[in-house]
Amino acid sequence: MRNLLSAGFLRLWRSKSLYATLAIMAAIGALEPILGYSAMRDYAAAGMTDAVVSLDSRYFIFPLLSGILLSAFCALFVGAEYSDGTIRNKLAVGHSRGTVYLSNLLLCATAGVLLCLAYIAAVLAVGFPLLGAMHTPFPTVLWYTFCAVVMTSALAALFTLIAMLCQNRAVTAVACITLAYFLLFLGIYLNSRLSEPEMYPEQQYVQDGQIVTEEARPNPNHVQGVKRTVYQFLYDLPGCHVVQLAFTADTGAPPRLPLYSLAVIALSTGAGTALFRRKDLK
Amino acid sequence: MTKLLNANFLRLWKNKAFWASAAVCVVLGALAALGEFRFQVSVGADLSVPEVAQYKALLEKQFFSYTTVTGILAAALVSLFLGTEYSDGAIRNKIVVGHSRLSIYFANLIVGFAASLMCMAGYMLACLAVGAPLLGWFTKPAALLLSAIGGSVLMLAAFCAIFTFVTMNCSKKSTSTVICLLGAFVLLFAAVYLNGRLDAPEFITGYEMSVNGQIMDSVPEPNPDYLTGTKREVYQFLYDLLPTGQSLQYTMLNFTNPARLMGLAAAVCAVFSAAGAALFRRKDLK
Repeated sequence: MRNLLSAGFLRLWRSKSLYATLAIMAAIGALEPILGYSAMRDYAAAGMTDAVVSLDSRYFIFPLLSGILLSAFCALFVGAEYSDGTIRNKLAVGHSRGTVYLSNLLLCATAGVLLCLAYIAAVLAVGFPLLGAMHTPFPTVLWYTFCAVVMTSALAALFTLIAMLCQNRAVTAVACITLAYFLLFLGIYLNSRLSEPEMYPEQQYVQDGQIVTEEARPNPNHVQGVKRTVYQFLYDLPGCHVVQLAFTADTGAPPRLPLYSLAVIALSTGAGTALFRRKDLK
Repeated sequence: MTKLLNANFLRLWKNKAFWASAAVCVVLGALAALGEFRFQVSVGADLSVPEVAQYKALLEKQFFSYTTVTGILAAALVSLFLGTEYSDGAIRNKIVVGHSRLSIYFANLIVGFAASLMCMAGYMLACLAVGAPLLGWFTKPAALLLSAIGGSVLMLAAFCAIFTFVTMNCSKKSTSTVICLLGAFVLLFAAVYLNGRLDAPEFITGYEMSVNGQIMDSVPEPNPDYLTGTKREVYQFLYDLLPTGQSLQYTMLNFTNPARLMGLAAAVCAVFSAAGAALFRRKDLK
């Protein structure tokens, strides 16, 4: 395992895909506070001196990006093992299939953490002088960062599962990128469905100069019962819960989210190693 | 060229990625119509009343969502289908037997476009087959619908020209797949951002209640997010130029100048095809 990791990290530090994705994360991290600062100047020019763009809103974006870029990285990095025939070589020299799988998982998870750190470093370096310090309490920011990093690792586990079981590198890329976007859009959809209020509140509006009161009534779009439980479960899964993280950034995400991520890591790794052991590598 | 097209289409009919994309389009088209129907039933809309169906224009709402879906699918399909030419060495074989690089490039562009067009037709037919009985027929003017369909075909040609440009000039199938897919989503998000900025209202209005219970409109305040002057024109141009911007306009049937959109799509298609073919002629195929 140690030999595999040494070789893997040596390859990781020379990987163009890693540096390309890190550069994209750092560039977006640097651009976000600049755009925020520019918007703040426009507001000030329009006389809205109290409109402030906070560093917090720019900081909390990174899990949205890290998952998508990680999907491309994992597909290219792990996919190269098949296209270059490295996997067969590793098995031929006596490494077990389980350790080959786990070493690739660790490398992908490391890349995921590095992607998060690249954004964080860039957004803080550029954002702090332009937008000032963050307003969210430090422990909450730390908790958010921890949850986001664990979620990124869980996504790395899912992408590794796909990449290790699919021998066609291009098909792996399509599957991983599509999965990353699917989970993101599913999270946005579930958030909108679960946010539907149970009742429409009493409303007052003007008709012919008179105030008309409309009574409170049930909302037919409110999700309830078993359907709500299923929706909530899916919403808590890594990838989908990136939306939940963003909405609870200032108050602190529920502790169940990193637990779900850890469960996904355990389950996908268990299933992945079991399937990879039986896989015909040709 | 004819022989190349024959060979490409023969390969297309046996291509798993093509059939998978077509199946995804058919399923999504059917699900879009079915989902809209289920939603309308859940909110208690009576679609048997013609006025309700006409007001909501439900079939149009779901039918034209193909414009967003097919762009993303074309990214995967074109890069997988054409990328195989490099990974299997087919391009070198074609050149060895005497075909020019230009004819190889344009034969690939045509077959990629035809495949994407067939997927698009699959979505439209499935949405019509499921949607027409459930949601009623189209209610918007025929001229508007036809210009949206015609424009979206040109938009798809622009998408295919961009993806062919990437795939034919990148020897690695997996790299071109990643660039095309990520590029398609980046362009989509850019279009959503541009749409959001262009849709910002010029004035922010509210209403205030006076002491005696009479409601008075407040003085509208200028919206600092509203785009004006050259900046607005640049944003509007980019929104019209990007194939993803066009796809959003066709999806919402919210466009005022279809000729401009079609002209820009044709220009994108021509520029990327010419640039792609020129680069491919000089490419070292090893």
